[in-house]
Amino acid sequence: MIQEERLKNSYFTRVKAAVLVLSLAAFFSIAVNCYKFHPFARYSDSATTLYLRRFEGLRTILPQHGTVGYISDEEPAAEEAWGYHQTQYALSPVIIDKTPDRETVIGNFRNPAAAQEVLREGHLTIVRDMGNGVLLLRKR
Amino acid sequence: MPRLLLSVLIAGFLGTGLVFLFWPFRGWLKVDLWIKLSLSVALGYGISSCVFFVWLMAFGAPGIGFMLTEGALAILLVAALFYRFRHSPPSRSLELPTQSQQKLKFSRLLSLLFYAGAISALVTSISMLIRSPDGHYDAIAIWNMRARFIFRGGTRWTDAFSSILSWSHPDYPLLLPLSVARGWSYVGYETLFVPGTIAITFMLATIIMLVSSLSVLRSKTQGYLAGLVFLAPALVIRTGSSEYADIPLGFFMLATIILFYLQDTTQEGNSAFLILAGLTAGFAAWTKNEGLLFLVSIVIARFVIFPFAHGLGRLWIEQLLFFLLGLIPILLILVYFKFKLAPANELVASRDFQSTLKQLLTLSRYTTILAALKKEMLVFGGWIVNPIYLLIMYPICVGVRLEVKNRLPTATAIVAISLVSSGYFFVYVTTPHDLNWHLESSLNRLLLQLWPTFVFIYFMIARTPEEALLGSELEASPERENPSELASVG
Repeated sequence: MIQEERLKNSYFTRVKAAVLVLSLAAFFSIAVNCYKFHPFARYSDSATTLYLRRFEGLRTILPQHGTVGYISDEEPAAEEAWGYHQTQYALSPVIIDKTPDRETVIGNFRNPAAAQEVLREGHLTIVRDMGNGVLLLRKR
Repeated sequence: MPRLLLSVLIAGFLGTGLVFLFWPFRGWLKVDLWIKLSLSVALGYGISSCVFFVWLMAFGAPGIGFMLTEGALAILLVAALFYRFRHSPPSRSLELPTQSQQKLKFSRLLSLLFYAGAISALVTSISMLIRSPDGHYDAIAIWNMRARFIFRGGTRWTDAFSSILSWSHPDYPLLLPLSVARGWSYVGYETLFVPGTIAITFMLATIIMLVSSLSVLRSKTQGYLAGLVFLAPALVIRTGSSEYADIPLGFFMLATIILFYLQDTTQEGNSAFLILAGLTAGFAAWTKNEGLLFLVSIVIARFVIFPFAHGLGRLWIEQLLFFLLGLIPILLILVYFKFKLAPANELVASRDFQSTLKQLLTLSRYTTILAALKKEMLVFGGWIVNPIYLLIMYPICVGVRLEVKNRLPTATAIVAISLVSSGYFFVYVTTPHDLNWHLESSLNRLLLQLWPTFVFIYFMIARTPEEALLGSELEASPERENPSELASVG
C-alpha cells in the first residue's frame, strides 16, 4: 500500500515537473527571442526602406508599362541579386530585365564615381541622375 | 482608413457567413466561438481573394463596381445565415470535454504564461513590422511585388507572370498578393498597413485556432501548453512579421486537420465540417505550391484510410462529396490560374528524366538532406534549450492517450504530414538548384509550415495534465483498460 502510494506520488511529481519544465522552457524561449528582436528599440527606417526610397523619383518618370534593362556595380552576386530584386519591387509594374541590352536601362550603383567606367563599357549614356547612385540610362 | 476597415469587414462577413452557414452547431457564444472566428477571418481573406481574381479576369481593374458586388455577396451570405438560424431546428452545441472543466493548481500559471508569451510575441512581431514595413526577402521579391503589379498594372497586371521575372516564382498561387492588392483597391492607394495587417492576422488566427481547438478537443491547459510551444521558436515571430506565405499556409493546413478532428469526434450523420475542410485545403493550395502537395496528401490520407475505419460505403461517398463541395470552387480558380496565367514551375520545367534519375540515385544527396534536417531540428527556430529532447521527454513523463474517436483523424493527420514531408524531401533530392543553397534558404520555413499541425497532433496524443493528475486513478482501474471504454472518457 505504502509502495503504491510512493509510486503514485513519484508519478505525480514527474508529471508536474514535465509540465512546468516544458511550459517554462517555451515561455523563456519566447521571452529571450522577443528581447533579441528589440521590440521597444527606437524606430528608425530599415536598410530596405532607405534602399527603396532611392527609386521614388525614378518611378515617376518611367513609363507605366514595358521592359527596361539593368546595370549595377554591386558585388558579390548574392548582394547584386538582392539589389536587383529590390529595384524590381520598387519600380513594378515596369519589368526590369537583368541585362543592359535594352533601349532604356536603370543604373543602380553603390559607388557613383565608379559608374563612368561601367557605363563606357556598356555603351550607355546618362539621361538623368536621380541621386544616391540611381541613374536613368540610354543605349548609345 | 474607413475604406481599409470596410475591406476587412466585407472579407470578415464573407468568411463569417460561410463558416456559420456550414457549422453544424448553432449558437454564437459557445465554446467553439474562437475556432469559428479565427477560421472566419482566414476564410474571409481566401474567399475575397478569389472574388477579386474572378473580377480581374472578367472585368479588369476593380472600381466601385467590385466593392458593391463584394458587399452584395457578403449581405447575401449573412441573409442566408439568418434564414438558416430561423428555419432550421436547434442543434446540440459543441461541449467541452468533462475533464477540462476540472481545475489544476497550476492551470492559472499556465494561462498566465501563455497570455504573457502570446502578447510579447505579437508586440514584438508588430514592432518588427513597423521597422520593416515592406517585409523581408520573399515579401519583396514575390508577394508584395506581385501585389504591386496587380494594383499598379491596370489592364497589364498579368505582366507579373513575364518569363523575365522567372526568379520571382511567377507560378506561385495568388491568395496573398490578391489580398494585398484588394486592400489597396479599397483604400485607393498603396499602404504597407495592408500586408502588415494580413501577416499579423494570420499569426494571431493560428495561435487562436491551435489553442481554442485543443481547449475544445482536449483541455484548456493542454491548449495553453500548445500555444506556448508553438510560439517558442524565434522563427515563428520572425516569419510572422516578414509578410511571408508560410504562416498563412501553416494556418490552412492546421485548420483542415482540426476540421477533420471535429468531424470525426463530434459529428454523426452530418458531414458539414468537411465542406469547410475542403475550403481550407483549397486555400492552402491557393496560398503556395506546397499547399498543393498538402491538398493531394490530405485527400490520399483521408480517403484511403477512411475505409479501414468505416468501410467503403455510403459514408465514404458522402464525406468525399462534402469535401469536394468545399474544394472544387477554389480548385477551379487554381487550375484556371495555373493553365492560363502561370508559367511552368522552375523545379519541374527545367528537368529531364536522365538528370532526375541521376539525382535520385546519388546517395550523397540523401545524406546531405538528412544532415541538414538533423541540424535544423536540433535548434528548430531558436529555443533556449534543445526542443527535441524536451518534446521526447514530455510524453514519456505524462503519458500518451489516443481515444478511439481520435484514431481516424490522428491517422489522417500523421499520414498527410508524412506524405507532405516526403514530398519536400524528394523536391530537395531532385532540385535543379545547388542543394546546399536550396536547403539553407528554405528548409527552416518548410518545417515552419508543418509546425502548427505538428504541435496540434502532438498535444492531441499526449495526455493532458488533467488526465495525468486527476484522472489517473480512473484510468488505472481494470474496466477502463478496454479501449472502447476509453472513447467515452472526456
